Amino acid sequence: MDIIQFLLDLLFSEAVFVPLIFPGLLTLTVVIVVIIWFERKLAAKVQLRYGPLYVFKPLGGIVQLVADLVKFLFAELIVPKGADKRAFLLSPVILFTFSVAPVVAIPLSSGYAAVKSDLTLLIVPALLTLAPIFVLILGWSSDNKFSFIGGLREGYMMMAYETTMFVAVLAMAVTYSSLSLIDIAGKQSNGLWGIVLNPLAAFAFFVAMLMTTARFPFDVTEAESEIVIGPYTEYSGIYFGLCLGASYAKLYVLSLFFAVVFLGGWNPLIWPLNLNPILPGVAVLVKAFLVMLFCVFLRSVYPRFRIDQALQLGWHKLLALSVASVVLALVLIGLGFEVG
Amino acid sequence: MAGSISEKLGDLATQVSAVSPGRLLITVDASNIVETARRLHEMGFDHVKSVTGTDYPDENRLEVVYHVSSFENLDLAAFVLQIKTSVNRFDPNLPSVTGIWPSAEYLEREASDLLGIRFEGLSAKGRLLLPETFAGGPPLRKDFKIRTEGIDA
Amino acid sequence: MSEERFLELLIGPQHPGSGHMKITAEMDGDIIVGFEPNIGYVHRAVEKIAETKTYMQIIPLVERPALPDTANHNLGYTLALEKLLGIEAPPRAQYLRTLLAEINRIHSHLYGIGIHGIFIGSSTMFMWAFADREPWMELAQQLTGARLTYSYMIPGGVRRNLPEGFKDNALKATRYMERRLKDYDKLFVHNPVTVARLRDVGILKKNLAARIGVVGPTLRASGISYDVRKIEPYCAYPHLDFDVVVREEGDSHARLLVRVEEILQSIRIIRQVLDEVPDGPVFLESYIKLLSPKIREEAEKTQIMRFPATFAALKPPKGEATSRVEAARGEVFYYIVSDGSPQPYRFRMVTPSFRNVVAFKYALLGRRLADIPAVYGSLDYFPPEADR
Repeated sequence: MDIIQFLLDLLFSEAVFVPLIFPGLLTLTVVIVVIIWFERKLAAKVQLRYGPLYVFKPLGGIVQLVADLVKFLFAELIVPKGADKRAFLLSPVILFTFSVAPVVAIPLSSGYAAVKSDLTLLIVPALLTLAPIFVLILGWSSDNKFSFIGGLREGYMMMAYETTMFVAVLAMAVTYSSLSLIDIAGKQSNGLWGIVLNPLAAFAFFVAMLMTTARFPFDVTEAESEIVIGPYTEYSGIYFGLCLGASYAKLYVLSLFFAVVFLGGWNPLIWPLNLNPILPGVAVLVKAFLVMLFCVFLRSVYPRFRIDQALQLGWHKLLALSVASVVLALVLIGLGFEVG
Repeated sequence: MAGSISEKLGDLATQVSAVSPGRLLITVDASNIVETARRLHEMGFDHVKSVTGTDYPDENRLEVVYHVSSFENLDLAAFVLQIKTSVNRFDPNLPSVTGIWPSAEYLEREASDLLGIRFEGLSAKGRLLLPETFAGGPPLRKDFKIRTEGIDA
Repeated sequence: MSEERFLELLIGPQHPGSGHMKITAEMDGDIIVGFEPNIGYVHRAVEKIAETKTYMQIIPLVERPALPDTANHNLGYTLALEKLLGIEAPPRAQYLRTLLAEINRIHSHLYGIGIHGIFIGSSTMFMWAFADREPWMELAQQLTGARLTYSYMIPGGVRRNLPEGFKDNALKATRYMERRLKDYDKLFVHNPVTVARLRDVGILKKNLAARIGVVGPTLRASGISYDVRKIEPYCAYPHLDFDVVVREEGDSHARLLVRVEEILQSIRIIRQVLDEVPDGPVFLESYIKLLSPKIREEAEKTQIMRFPATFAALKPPKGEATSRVEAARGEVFYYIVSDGSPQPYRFRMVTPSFRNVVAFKYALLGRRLADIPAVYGSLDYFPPEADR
């Protein structure tokens, strides 16, 4: 009895529950399965076709991704002869790890968070800056010119969005005068969400999010008609699944972040629902899911940009926008606007 | 039109005649082809539609036909000139007209690939349509017989 | 260890964005400094095979290289053959030939626009364009019996008469297409990302385009108003009212716009043809007399002309003939030399894609790697048609 109680306590403790179950790896897997199914289904509806249909037809093929995952697991893992084996095999794993890692900083409610620190706002963007390095290593180690070019493109894209993202986050930190995600979500309980207080920062961050997760129109890294599938060309089997899953994991983490910082976190939940430590987290998850839905919908609408056009957009327009958002935040604070 | 062309070409062409509505036949010697091309280009004929090589093994010659017309001059565009020359079948050398009509480049490359005609002055080398490892005579000549698999081969 | 500045990229036949050809691109970073298209991967020796086939057997042979656009190639060959034979098809047949040629032009342009879309990343455009080819292929099936390779035009006329209810179906399809073109415009043609990708990309200036000999929408988008249907009108085109679509910019976006606009012009032509098609026979009277009475009766009853063995040994008189037609991708040129035997002595076919290969080099030097699919799709280069 004691051991079971101990294990249950361990399981539901914040340090284990958040990274592993909710909103960590288990929820991530479920969300990725659903969001990719949704992406394909939505694109299919726009494109006058069915999309995933046959795998478990009553539900409309929602289990398609599980079937794909099983297929990936059974596929042969091919390592090219001239590839740098250690880098080739390790980098997708590390890439996926760093794409999922920031989820530990997301708070589920004002009392339930894995990392209780004053700096959780910075953890998410900071950990995500490590991911593109491993895409570069992926591309280089594959011994394939197209992978190499794809990896370089990922490096260039990082140059395009990173500064914008950090400046937009800075704007929000200034608006809320706090670097703790729990504080920030708490300060949005009066109904004025971040997106209303500083729409410029929200927009700049959203576009930077599209750039970092390679959603259309910034699909530059994986431009299929130009560089086969970019850095992931030589990968097969579950490694390919990890590579593509990494960008969806980034999308998931950034959507959770967006929901907490800009969309009010777990507000507005009234009294009975915000008692249980998990239910506010469900509200955050629902908001994040809606953001993800919009991001994947853009696949059906836009072609892809060229790398130099994406870079120009990032440095000319988005950086200006995010700097303007910092100015807006300073003006708000200067006017004596008290937040929360 | 036939009159003005034969006037322009003078005695370069051995024959200029209208063969059907919009089609004029000009026969020239292989050595005069570049000068003919230059004069026709001055008249306004600015591109080559086709370079055809026909094999006449009995007469021991390869007949090369250039079909030429105009894009920019819409009056001349209604006419397609057929410029015919002949080269020896065993030593087919012809000066290239790509200096005057750049549009002939790929057409001459195809003729040299499939018929074995050597165009002097053609800058691009190498086979165009046939595989690089193709061994055997030029396919479009009459002595190249198509072999049906299972029957002849 | 040597240090090389230029990266040699082989965008070979096994590449999602290369079609059936190999492109050797030398890259200085992201800029293309050398570009060599290597064609011939699908050379199937149509010209040589034609020397061993009878004239009627060449009709399907000539259609096979250019699959999206078979009717226009069929038409060109049939016109050249009729010149050799010295005959002319009856007026109703000429109108029906025009009808099929324009239907084919529409769905070939949709193919080109769809491929262009997927090359620059818009999978929606690809799916929509290919889905919208379906009404046109259905119409063609009602008219000719086949969806893609029709073999509809034979020397002397056409194989089948206009079926019942065709006019209503065709007009429905034209109205549908006009609605869809508005959707295409909003989603793809004037999508800001598309415009950013295609504007000022791969410019072919007017005199360069004429000098290097490109044809079709590529030529017309560079400011040269050359359309064989106006220069040397054939079939019913002298009696029809339509515009040649010309744009001045010469970039990839202009080529895309020319194609979209040509679909509208083709719809205009189809409506006129259906209104004005004259009554009469669809096959030459003097040839019908050559058929046995039983076949004549069957043709009369079903309005379908079966190929009787009479035509198998068709022997045109000795001579030569050339013909040119405006296919969807450009001008197709045929040159047939006959020596009086059932097989042609020399059969020459110059397809528009073969004449457009040069445009790659001139349009892409100095551009970026991502412009290769943008320009490739805008030229609507179809490798099997180029290699024959």
